[in-house]
Amino acid sequence: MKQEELSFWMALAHATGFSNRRKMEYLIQAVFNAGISLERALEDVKDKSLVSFEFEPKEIRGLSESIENLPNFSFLAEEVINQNIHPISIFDSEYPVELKNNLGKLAPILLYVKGNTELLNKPGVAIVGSRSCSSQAIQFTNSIAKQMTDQRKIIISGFAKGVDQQALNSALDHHGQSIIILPQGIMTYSSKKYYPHIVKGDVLVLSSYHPKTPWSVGLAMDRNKTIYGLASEIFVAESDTKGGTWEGVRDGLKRGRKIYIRIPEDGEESGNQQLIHNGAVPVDLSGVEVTVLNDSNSDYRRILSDEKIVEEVEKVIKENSGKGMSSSDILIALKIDVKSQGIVAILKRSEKFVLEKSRGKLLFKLNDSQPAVPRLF
Amino acid sequence: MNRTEAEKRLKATFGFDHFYDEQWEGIQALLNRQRVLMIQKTGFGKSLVFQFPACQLDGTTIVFSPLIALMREQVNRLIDLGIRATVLNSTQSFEEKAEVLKKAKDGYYKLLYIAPERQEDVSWLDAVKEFKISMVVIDEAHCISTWGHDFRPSYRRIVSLIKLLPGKFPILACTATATMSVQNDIENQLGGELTILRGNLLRENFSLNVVWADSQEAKMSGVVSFLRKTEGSGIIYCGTQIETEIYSRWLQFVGINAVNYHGGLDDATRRSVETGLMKNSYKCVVATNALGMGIDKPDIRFIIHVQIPPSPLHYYQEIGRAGRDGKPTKIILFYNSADDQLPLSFIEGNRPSVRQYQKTIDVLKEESLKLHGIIRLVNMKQTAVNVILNDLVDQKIVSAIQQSKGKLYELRFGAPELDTSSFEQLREFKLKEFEELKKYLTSSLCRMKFLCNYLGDDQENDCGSCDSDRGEKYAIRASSEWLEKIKEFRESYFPKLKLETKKSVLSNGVASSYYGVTEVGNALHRSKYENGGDFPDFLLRLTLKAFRGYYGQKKFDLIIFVPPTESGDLVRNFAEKISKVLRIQISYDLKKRKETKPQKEFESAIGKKSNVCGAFIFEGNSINGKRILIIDDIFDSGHTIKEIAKVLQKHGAVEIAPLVIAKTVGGR
Repeated sequence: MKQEELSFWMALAHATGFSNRRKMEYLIQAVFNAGISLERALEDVKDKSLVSFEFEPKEIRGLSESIENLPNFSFLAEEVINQNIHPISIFDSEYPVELKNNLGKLAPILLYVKGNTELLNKPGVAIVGSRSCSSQAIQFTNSIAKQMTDQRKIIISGFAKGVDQQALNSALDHHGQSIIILPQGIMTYSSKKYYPHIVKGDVLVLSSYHPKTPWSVGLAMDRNKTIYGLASEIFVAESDTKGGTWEGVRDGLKRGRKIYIRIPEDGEESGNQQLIHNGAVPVDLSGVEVTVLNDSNSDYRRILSDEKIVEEVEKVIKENSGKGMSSSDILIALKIDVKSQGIVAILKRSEKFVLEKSRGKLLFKLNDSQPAVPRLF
Repeated sequence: MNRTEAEKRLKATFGFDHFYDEQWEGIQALLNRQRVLMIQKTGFGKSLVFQFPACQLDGTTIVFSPLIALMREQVNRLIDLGIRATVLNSTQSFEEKAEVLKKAKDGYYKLLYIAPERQEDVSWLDAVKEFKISMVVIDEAHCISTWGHDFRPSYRRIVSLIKLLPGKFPILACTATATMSVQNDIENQLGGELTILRGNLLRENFSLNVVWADSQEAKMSGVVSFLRKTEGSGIIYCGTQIETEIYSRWLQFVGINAVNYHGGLDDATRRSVETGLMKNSYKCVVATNALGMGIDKPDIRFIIHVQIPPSPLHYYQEIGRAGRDGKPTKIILFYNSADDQLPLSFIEGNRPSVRQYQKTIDVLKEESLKLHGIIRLVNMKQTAVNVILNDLVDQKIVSAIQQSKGKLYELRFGAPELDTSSFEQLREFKLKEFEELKKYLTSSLCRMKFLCNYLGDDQENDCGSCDSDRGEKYAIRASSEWLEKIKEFRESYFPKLKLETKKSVLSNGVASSYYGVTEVGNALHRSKYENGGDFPDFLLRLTLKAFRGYYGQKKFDLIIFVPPTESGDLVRNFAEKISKVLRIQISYDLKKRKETKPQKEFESAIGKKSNVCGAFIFEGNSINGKRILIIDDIFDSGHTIKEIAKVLQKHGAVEIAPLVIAKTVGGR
């Protein structure tokens, strides 16, 4: 973006009452499709003479307040630039393509970064795990970081204690490069330790929050989305059965990401085993996939993305010689971690199935009719 | 709002019937949310152009101005008119500032004046984000331009702020002095669509004169003669802080009520001089150009320069504050060809070397540092480090991050290489500007016409009152009576050494002269570095005179001299002679316990301090309860004397008073 546009981007990015998804939709309609500048678009919010975006009442309230505060955003923008912080908008070529592809409309519309922006579009590997973790987890982290660094991949770190810090330090120890994803506003960050690496171009610091926001648990959870989104490969060193890593991995699996996880030692009290059952791919210390014997008796349920669920249900019904199956039958057959209303909703959305009522039960069958594909003839 | 309606409101609030057309033009543009650059002479009424719309717009107008005294005055005037205005500056207490910021957040003020440096203040930056801002004004906008005479690094952040403000937001930049090149530079820097309003810069009530002096003494006498026959009060501009001291003492010596003023004085002193000037308590204030930036007095009757400024733009700015009441005002420039040295040395010699730039960049590769950390690691003078950092920030090689205490300097990733060509361009530009001023001296054109033309304001008519138009040219030489008088002054004027602190028994002291200003320096140099033997007797006489002048009948118990670094027994022999005359016992027991280097080899104060730290030891009889006179030849930073005082205080001395032959001009 042109530097002069920063105030407008900030005003939109930090407007309240407005989800990222909706901001993205507004940007696409108002700026991308209408082909006008964000400044013009925001000037037009009241009159709607150029763009007729349907705002919710709370959205228009939040955005109008932001517009009113534009001079104040200019003051903040000046501070941002003075601190050598580089803003990147979703329309900029520097914006990481991986993040856009993985998160879609949830990709933050404005990033604040400091350091070597070339790292943003190189293949990245996230190594995640809990703050307090075993020595095996640390060893695993170090080993993966070294390997990935040798392959010239960027290590993406959440900058928390434990695995995050280890991933970052190992990458730098092995002369690799790293991106730090902050769980806070970028102006509240300072680190003597990583300064020389930033100057050399080996570290980039990134935040998608209002530059002055302090650290919070909520943001720590939220920024996992960016870590997973930016990475083309994800390794989990260790997870509890609750907390940021746990939620993050499950969310990732739900989005259909392939997630590698350290295979736990016998009797290890981590959540790793459970996540493997949920669908994470077990790997050994050197990151090589390990096959585990399928203990089909276990109660563990897999986490699959919606598309994957559709795919597997299709297979199961076919294997059931096309007979209809109820949602509970499907859940038992698939061993997936979805509630029965959930699966009904997913399958209803898909055009591959039809619902039939049979003896008081709702059964899903394969839809034999051809999907409505537009034809030329 | 149409003009009739606006003038109704003008009458109601400000009491004036009408706007000037040019004022209205600016006001209209601002009310239409435009960006305006206004170039109008002093006394035009620029402030109304933003004060009026500030009162009409919803929210607070922020006025950036470097002139603290001027801001205070404007605010007082606005408050008298019932307009809610305030000023935020560095001299206010923490509580006062907090109060102002709180009320501003509540939307209480229509106008808030603030110094540009505040734009680097963390508490201000945090607070301003909660204001409702209606307009931004940049006073003295020529400070934006590096091509101008008065570039201020603190304006850099204002420029970047302006660039980031929305296009449809009223901004006014105003100045009384801008050449076309400065105007273009301001236009480029502010960006966006700028409405330019340029007025005529002719000052009808000025009588401009140049006086050619054949010596420094001729200038000294000429100034006195002029002051004695001129009514009213005014300003004498000097080139250096020391010169303001010498000139003010000289004028006092001949019975003229003068006082000096420069940036090195403490805030209270400066403010008291400013107030004194406003109240006509002095015939004249002898000042560096630090003064022009703080004065809003309508009846400054004369402005004298005893040192040629580096460009006509500087000159126009410095004389600009005189005669705002429109009454006849005398402007005199005293010139001697030796005066070229000072501006030329500023133009040629004030850039540190490329190696020094590189050294600064190198230390910042390893860690981010504050100013003092950098000075310690690079061993350069603070002034040099400041120049370097300013340039590096300017070239976007380094960024300065404001923290609650001081700035943190960081090297930028992917920073461009140091571009020295811009230094060279600037040097050539400044040389050219200086040549322009030399032309002003010799030109036979009307002097006002010369200045206006130079500023890009083409004047057709002559002013009729300058020396050229009157057909009079002045040259002076000092008579033998004056020379005698000046000699007498020089031998009675002794620079003070400021050393007192609360913790130490070390008191302020005195030197017999400045090093390098009179014959004293040459004599010292001959003895110290050219095997000229003991310090000559006239130095002894002068030093004793300084002693009596400063210490009077004060009693001392012991004389101690500073042990030599490289000049043998010169100081010891000198101290012995003083001991004999004053009948004070001399001690030989202060010794060096480690080799030190001459202090002049160290550039930074920190380096000088550590050179002498722990260097002295006292091995004599008890000096418990004794009052000690400490003697040295040249006084520079004062670190040696301070270090010695520490040792002597530990041994029980109750007073330590320094007496030296000469004080360096750069010293404290």
